[in-house]
Amino acid sequence: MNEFRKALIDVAGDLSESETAVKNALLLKKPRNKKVKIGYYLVPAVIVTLIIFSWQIFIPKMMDFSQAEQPTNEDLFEFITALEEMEYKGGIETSRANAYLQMVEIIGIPKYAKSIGITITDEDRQQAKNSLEQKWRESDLTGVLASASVSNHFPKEKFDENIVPLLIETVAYNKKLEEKMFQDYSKMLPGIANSYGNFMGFSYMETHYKTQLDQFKDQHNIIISSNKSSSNSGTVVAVEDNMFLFVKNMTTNEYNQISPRIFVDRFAAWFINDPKNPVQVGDYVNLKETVISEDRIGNEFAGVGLHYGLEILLPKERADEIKEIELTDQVLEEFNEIYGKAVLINEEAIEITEPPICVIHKKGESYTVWQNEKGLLYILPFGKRELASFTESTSKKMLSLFKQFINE
Amino acid sequence: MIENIGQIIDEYSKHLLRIAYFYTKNRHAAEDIVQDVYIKFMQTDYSESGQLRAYLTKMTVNKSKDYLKSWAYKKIQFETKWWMKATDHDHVIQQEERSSIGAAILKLPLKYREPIILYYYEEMSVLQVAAILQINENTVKTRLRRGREQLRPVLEGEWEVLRHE
Repeated sequence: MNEFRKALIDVAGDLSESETAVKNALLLKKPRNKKVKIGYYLVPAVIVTLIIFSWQIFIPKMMDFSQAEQPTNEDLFEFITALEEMEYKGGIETSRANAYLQMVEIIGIPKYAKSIGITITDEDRQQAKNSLEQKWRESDLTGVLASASVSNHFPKEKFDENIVPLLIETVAYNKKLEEKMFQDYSKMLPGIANSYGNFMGFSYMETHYKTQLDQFKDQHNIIISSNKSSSNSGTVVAVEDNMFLFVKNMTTNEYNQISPRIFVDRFAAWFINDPKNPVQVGDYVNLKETVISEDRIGNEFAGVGLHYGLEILLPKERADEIKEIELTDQVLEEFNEIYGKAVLINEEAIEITEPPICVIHKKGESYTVWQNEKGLLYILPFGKRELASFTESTSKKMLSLFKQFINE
Repeated sequence: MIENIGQIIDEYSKHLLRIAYFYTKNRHAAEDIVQDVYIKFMQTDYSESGQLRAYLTKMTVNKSKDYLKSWAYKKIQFETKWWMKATDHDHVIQQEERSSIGAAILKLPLKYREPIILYYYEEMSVLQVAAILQINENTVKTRLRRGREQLRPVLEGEWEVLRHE
């Protein structure tokens, strides 16, 4: 074996746990816990980012907050780029792209907050400053961050003048945004409240400063990859308190038959119902890049989520396009034969971005049927978590079986 | 129709997980990628012709590269970066304990890391690497050389191999 190969095998380490996880996920013994419950990465991104600046323990008393008015900040960008380079060495392109995303978010949060009428006082700023100073004192990253690669580029004066004021503004406005989230949405959890503020800050910048941001990206040769996101589709089963309850891979009829253990047994969560694009009970929707946090809200356990885009796949008014069909005894044998050839896959492993084409009933059991853009079928027996996945040829056979009933 | 998927998973998972890990440097991402590769594979009407390992490897390489370009990857990087720092730091230390040279290879930019993975780990010929990366043979050779040059400070004194390069 060549030495490079041996070194690579060694560095990968023991992957037996991953092998088992993949096998179990695919063969149904034990689904992998994919990024559905995301508690760990909903830790406040901005606050966490700020902890890195631990080498500056004391913030000067006088600061120029006008920095926060600019849509971009060269110093902030270069500073985060230097940190990225120092820590991750993933290539300058990646460092710059990541630094750009963080810069836009840090600048965007105050701007978005102001746009919806949130204001902060000097006392809020002081609290944010105190909070930052405390976090920086508590941080154990001092040694890493005092490294020459960062501090050489950023003398304390430059950091104090051009970056600290932005961070204070961002922290102060972020706190206010979180408070507003809890005020506006009684079903809300901390991680989601914080991430929503971050997301809205970024979106606000993209909407209102597109030209400047594009120019900045051109100048710094920053390439942000296209949004190739994962998504979940399912039904809006309730609307309450400015939020809607989404359940994945389920029709309204099916939801009405299940027990209240929905947050435990299913991918289900409350999402903010955007007044500009509201949904109603019965809509079949697709949510892009969904993240969910689960915890107790009052006495009840519930999931609250954040999505990065919503598309109504089938509005309530057209819900009857999901045909309910009863298979006759004549075709049952053929159905069972084709179904037996399917590969069963945990539903979390499959991304479905279309509404079901029909719900099959046979001998008191029901099966929801989807067809993907390539014509392949997925069938989910009601109450199960395992999707039957069909190849091109078995999909065609199954479809031809259904078509006579769908067309009736 | 794939009759023995369980057997295929048993046989190839370790290899595919390693390939995905060499690209993503993240075990969970590698699991996601390999899982998706199998799902896609199960939906194909693949007929065995002795090329299954190469077929699955190519799918894994392509999926890994898609992942590195994806917004999900950027977002996870973005949202976990500093909070996950301690874990990442530990992870890097573990990697370096397992193999300082392997860890150095994983730190190479993808442009140089990828030919090294395919040429040395996957033991493809330069021609095969060129075909899978859709670049010409000379470019593969150049990238391999530059990759090795970047590794030289780590390798010096450790391997005889470089003295003959």
